[in-house]
Amino acid sequence: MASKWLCAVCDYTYDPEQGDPEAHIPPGTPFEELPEDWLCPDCGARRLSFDRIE
Amino acid sequence: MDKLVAVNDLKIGMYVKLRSDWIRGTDLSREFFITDPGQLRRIKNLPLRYDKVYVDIDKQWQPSHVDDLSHTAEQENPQEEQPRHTPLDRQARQKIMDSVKSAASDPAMEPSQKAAAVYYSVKELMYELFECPTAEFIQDSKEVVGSLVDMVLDDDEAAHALIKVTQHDFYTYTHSVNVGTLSVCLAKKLFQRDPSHDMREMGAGFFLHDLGKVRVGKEILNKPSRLDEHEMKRMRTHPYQSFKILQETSQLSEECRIIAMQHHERDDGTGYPLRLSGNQIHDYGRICCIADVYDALTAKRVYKEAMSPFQALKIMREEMLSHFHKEIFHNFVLLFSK
Repeated sequence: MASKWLCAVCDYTYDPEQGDPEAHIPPGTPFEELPEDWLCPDCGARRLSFDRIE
Repeated sequence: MDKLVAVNDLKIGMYVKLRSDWIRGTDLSREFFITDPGQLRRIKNLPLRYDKVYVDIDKQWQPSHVDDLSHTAEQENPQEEQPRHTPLDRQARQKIMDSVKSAASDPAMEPSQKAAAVYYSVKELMYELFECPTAEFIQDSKEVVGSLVDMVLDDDEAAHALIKVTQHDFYTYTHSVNVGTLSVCLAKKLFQRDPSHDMREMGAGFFLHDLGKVRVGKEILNKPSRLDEHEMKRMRTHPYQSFKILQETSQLSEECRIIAMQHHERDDGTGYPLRLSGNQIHDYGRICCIADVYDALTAKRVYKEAMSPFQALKIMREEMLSHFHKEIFHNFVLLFSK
């Protein structure tokens, strides 16, 4: 199962099972496959601000 | 003017201002005229700090003011004075907008009087906006901020008086008005009358920079003590959420939405959310950042005392200078030198 990732800025968790509907990221998308310009839906941080949690 | 009054000295007819976390679970409103002894008793029973509350000593009680629609709930049901906030209707908002406009452009009015009239009216409308952040309310706020911007640009004395009139309480909307006011004055100093800057649009961006806080949970926003690490991180969502509200409601130019998005970025790259540094940060964002820090330092919090303007500027220079654009900070300090 793909890992969850935590935003170091705001504690939002990216859960690949959920995806990010607001940004049209379908459920099942692993963090690694998010587009380069994807931003944290809560705080707007870039991908590089995320850490793998499980 | 707000004055701290010991609860034992409260009297019927005073206009009292309470903190939302104190009144949670009670039927008291956040602000109201004390009209009966039952209210006095209930205020004394609140979990107050230091047994003191703010009273607006300028507000005169006028019993049964007919055309004030927001009081209808109180009259129909005396047990629950304004249990929920009723948003001002279009007409009432128009009245505020008109009064700001006429005060701001009245050549006969004393600068300090003018500044106070404009400041309090803008504050009133911003309070409404934070209760109900719709496109329509944002539009009205833009208009009223526009009048304030015109006044700052046209009347140096009134602009200076405006800086002095800024007050502090625990509310986001007051902070927004203060940061907006200081930022507009700083922008005037930096850009003079350079036509490439739309000062009204920019001004709205400054006043609306914290609007995204309406999307941060109330339990965090109204927490009476210092935030823990997780809560602090959740607070960091507000710049992007402000940006998104302005985008979703199609308000403000992209350039001015940037103010909301960038007001917590720092010159040395230690800010958020994008960790921008130096020239990656827009001048408008830099302005708002400086005014925001200053207002936070000079505000009193439950867990910290307020600093004097001098102390705040000193700390900003000695301990935080790497966060700011040096030249803009220098100009900010000059705002207080008169």
